[in-house]
Amino acid sequence: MLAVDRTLVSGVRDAAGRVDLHRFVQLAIELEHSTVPPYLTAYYTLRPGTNEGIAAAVRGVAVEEMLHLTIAANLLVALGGRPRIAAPGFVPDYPTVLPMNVGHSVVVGLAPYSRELVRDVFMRIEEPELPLHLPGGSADRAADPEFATIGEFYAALRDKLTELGDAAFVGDPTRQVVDRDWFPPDQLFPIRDVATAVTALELVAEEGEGTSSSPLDREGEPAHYYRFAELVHGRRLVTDPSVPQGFSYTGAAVPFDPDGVWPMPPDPRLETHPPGSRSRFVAERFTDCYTRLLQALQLTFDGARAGLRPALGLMFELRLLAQDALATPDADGRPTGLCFRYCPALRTTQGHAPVLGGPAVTPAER
Amino acid sequence: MSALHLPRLVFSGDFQADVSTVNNDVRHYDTATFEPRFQQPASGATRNGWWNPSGSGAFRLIGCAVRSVASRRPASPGDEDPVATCSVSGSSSSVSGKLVDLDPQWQMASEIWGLTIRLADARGGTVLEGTFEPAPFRDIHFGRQSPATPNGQAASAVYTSRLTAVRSHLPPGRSPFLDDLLAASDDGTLAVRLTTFGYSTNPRDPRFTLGRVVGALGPARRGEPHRFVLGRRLAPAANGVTAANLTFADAVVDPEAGLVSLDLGNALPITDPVGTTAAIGPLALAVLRTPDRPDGAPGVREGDVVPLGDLLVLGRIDHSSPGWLSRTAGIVDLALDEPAAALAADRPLALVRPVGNEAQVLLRETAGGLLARADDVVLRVDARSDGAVAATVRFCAARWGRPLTAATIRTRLEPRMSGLGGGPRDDPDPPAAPIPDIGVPQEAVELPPSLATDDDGRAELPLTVHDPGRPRGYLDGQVYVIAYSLDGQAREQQHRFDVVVLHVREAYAAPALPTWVDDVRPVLVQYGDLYPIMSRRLVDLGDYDAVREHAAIIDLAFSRPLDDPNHMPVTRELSDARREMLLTWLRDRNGYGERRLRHGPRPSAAAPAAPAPRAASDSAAAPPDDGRGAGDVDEIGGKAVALPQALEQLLRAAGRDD
Repeated sequence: MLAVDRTLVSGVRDAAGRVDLHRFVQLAIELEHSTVPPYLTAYYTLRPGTNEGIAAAVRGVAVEEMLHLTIAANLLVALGGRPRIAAPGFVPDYPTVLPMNVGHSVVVGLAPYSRELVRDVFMRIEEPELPLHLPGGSADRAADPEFATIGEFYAALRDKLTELGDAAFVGDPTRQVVDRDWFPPDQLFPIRDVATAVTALELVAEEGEGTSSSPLDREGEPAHYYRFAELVHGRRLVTDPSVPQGFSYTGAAVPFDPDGVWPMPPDPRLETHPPGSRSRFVAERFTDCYTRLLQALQLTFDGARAGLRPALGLMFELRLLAQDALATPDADGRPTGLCFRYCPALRTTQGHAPVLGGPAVTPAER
Repeated sequence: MSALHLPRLVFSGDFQADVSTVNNDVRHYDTATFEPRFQQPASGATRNGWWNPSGSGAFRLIGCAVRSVASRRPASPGDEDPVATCSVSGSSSSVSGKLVDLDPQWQMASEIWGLTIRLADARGGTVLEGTFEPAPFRDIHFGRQSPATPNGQAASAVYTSRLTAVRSHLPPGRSPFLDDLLAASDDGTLAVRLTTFGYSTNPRDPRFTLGRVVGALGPARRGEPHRFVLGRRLAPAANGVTAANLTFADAVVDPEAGLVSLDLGNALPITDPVGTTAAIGPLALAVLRTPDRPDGAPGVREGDVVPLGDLLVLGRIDHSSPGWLSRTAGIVDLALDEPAAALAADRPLALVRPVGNEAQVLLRETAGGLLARADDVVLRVDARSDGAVAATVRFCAARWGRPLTAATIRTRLEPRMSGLGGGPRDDPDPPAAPIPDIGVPQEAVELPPSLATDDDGRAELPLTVHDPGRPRGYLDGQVYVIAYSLDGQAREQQHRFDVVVLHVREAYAAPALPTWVDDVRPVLVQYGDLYPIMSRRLVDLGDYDAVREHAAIIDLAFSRPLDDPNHMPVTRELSDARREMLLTWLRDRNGYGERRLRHGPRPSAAAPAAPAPRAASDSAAAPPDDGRGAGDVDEIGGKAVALPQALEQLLRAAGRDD
C-alpha cells in the first residue's frame, strides 16, 4: 500500500478554496506520472514477439496511468490552475520514493520485467487499502494508522470539491483534453463541475485499486493490483463460484519466458556510457524523445489544438527508440538502459568531435 | 535572396538518417515473392534487406550548434548576439522528421519531410523555429570522401529549401541579428541550406546512420525559387567532377553588400567523415578577365593555366584551416569593390590555385554564365480515370546571376528505362521478382518540347498526366523522368540528376464497402513487408487482428497531412484514392459506434487476389557481417542508384546536344 503523508490529506481538507488545491492536484499529476516510467520500462524490456500476454497487461496499466495523469491535469485546468509537466523535477530521479509517499515507503526504480518486480514493487504501488483475499492471492498488510492512503487522499479531494461546489470550476472548458479515439468518453471526459470531477476521481481510484467489494473496475477489468497479481501467479483472475469471494486466480495461464526479457541494468544513467559510444547515442535519443513527450503534453494542457495527438505519435517513436537502445550492447555487453529524464538542453556528445574509430559495436537486433 | 545572402547564420553538427533499406530494392515490393530474409541485414554478398532493414525513416538534427552569424550592419553583432550560442535541433514536442525516397525506382532525390528546425538557448528554450519545406537533395557528389572509411559512404549532397511559419520567441531588440534576418525576409519564411556528408552505412561504426551536416539560414523573398540558389553556378566541365574531384558550387554576387558569397559546402573533396578538406593546395576565388566567346564557348577552360594578369583575385579560401567546413558551412564571403563588381557582371567566377607565377583554373562558372534549373523536382501525381490531370513545373533561368529573358528551355520525357532500383548484380541470391521498366506508357505524360522564359527569367512547364494504369505490376503507377536543358548550354554543365521526376499513381476507384481481403490487405501487407520496424515492433500491417487492435492509431497516422511527421506511410507514396479507401474501411462503424473493419471477401468478387498469409519473419536477426556498405558499382552511396545500363541510358539521353 502506498502510504501517503497524512498532512497531504489534512491539507486538502483544510483548503480554503480552489487555489489552495492546486498544489495537491499537481502532486497527484506527479504521482500518476511517476509510475509510468517504471511500468514502461518493464513493458519495453519484454522483447517484441515474446511474453505477449504479460506485455499487454503491463502496457494496459501504463496506458491507464497516462489516463489518470490526463484526468488529474484536466482537474487542475478546471480549477483554474496550470499543470507543470515539462519542468525540472517532474520526472523523479529513479530509484526513488514516489511523490507523496512516506512511511512504509516503496522504493521504485527502473528495472527490466520480472515477477519479483511486479510482486515487490508494482503490486505495492497499486495495493488497495484493504485488498480482497482471493485464493492464491497475497496477504494484505495491515493499514498503519499513522499514514493515510492514496485512496484517502483522492476521497478527501472529492469531499473538498463537493464542499467548494461548482463555483470552484473556473477553468476554460474548451481547454479540457479529451480524445475519443484513445480513451472512451466514459473514461476521459471534460471536468466542468463537481459531478464530473467526482466521477473522474472515482475512476482513477477504482482502476488502480478496484472497489472495496470487487477486484474489478467499472469496465469489468481487474484493477491494477489484481492485474499485476495475475502476472505473479501466472493465472488469470476469473469468477469462481466455488469460493466465497467469487474470484480466484485459476484462469488461463499467463506464461512467462524469462529469456524474452532484455536484461537491462537497473536505474540506468546517460553518464555511464562513454561519450561517442553507440550506447550513449541511443540512450540520448530515448531521453530526447521522452523529453519531447513531456513537452508535447505540456503544450496539450496549455491549450494546443492538436490535443493528445502529438504525444501519441511520440509514444510510438519512444517505443522504437526503446528497442533501439535495448538492442545496443553497452561497454559491458548489456542492453543499453532506458533513461527516463527531462533534458530539454541535451547536448549530445556526438556533435563536434565524431569518433572516427572506436570499438566495433554491432546491434544485435535493431 | 538565399541562404548565401546576409544576414546569414551558419550551423553544423550531426544528422541521423535512420532510413529503412528494405525498400532499396524495388523487387521487395512484390508481395507474392517477398521472403522473410528481405527483412534481415545483408550477409556477405547476399543483400537481403541491405544495411539497415530496421530503419524507421527518421531524420534528426543532433548536436548541431550555431557557428557564426553575419549581418549587413557595419558593426556586425557577431558572437555577442544571443543567437550565436544557440543549439540547432528538431521540434521540441513532436516526432522526428523523415527522409523519404520518391519511389524505389528513383532514389536520387530523397526528400526531408516533417522536419522542424529550431534554435534553442542553453536551457533548451526555443529562440526561433520554422518548418522545413519538403525538399530533395540535389547536386549529389558520389565520390566526395576518400577514403570512404570507416563510415562506408563517400557521397555528399545539398538540400536547398525554405523554413516556413518562422516564429521568433525573442522580443524585438534582443537579437539584432535575428531582427535583421526577419526584416530581410517575406511572409515569415527563411532560406535554408543543408549540406550532408560523412554518412555511415557501416553497422559496426558507432556512428552508424549518422553523418555530418553543415547548414545556413538566410533571407528569403517571395517569388524566388525555393529549391535552388538563383545566382552564379560553378560547374565542372564534364562528368560532374573536375580532375581534382571538385563539383558544382553556387555563388551570389551582392553589389549592395559589396560581397560575393560562394558556397563550397558540397564542392571540395574531403578525406574523412568529419569533412577535413583534401590537400588540393591553396585556393582563391577570382574573376576571369578573359570573356567567354559569343558562341558560348569558354574563354578560359577548366584546367587551363593562365597568367595572373588574366585574373582579378577576389580573395583566398581558408579551406585548409582546421574545422573549416564545420565552422563556415563552406560559405566564403569575399569583398567585391566596384571595379570587381563591374568585371564580375559578365565574366566568369573561378576557383584557382597558384602554379608558379601563374594560376590554374580548378573550377569555373558555367560557360556564358548560364543557369537554368527546375524548382519543382519531385512530383507526386494522382491520375484519374475520367480525364487528365494537370501539373506544373517552375523553372528559372539566369545569365551572370541576372534573369535570362526569352531563353528556350528544352524538355523531354525520357524513354523507357530498364533495371532501375534493383540490387547489385553480384548478389548470389537476388529477389525473384522482375525489375519493372519505368517511363512507360509514354503517352501518360504529355509536355511541350520547349518553353520560353519571361521577362523575369521564369517559365512554367505544363504537364498533362493521364492514367498509366499499373505497368509495373506489383507496385503502384509509374515513374517518369523529364530532362531539360537550356538552349546554348552544354548538358554537361548541368548536374546529371538535374531532372524532374514524377511518380504517377494509377487511377483507382474504391468500392463502396472495402474489405480487408479484397482491398485493404493488398495495400497494407506491402508496408508490413517493407517496414519490419513497424511490423515487428508496433503493428503487423499484414495481420487483420493486429490492424483491428491498432485501428485507431492507423486511422490517425494515415489521415495526417503529407507534411506531418506522423504521416503514414512514411514513404508518402499512397495515392489519395487508395488512402480514402483505407480510411473508409477503418471508419465504417456499426450502430454501437464500433469499427466494422469488414473482413471479406466480398461474395460477388472473384477469387480474392490476396496471397496466402505468410509466416511472420523471424525476429532474431543475425548480426550483419558486412560493414562495407558502399563501394559496389551498383550500390552508389548505399542506395540502389541504377543498374549501369539504365544509368548509362539516362546519361546518354541527358548528354544529347539538341
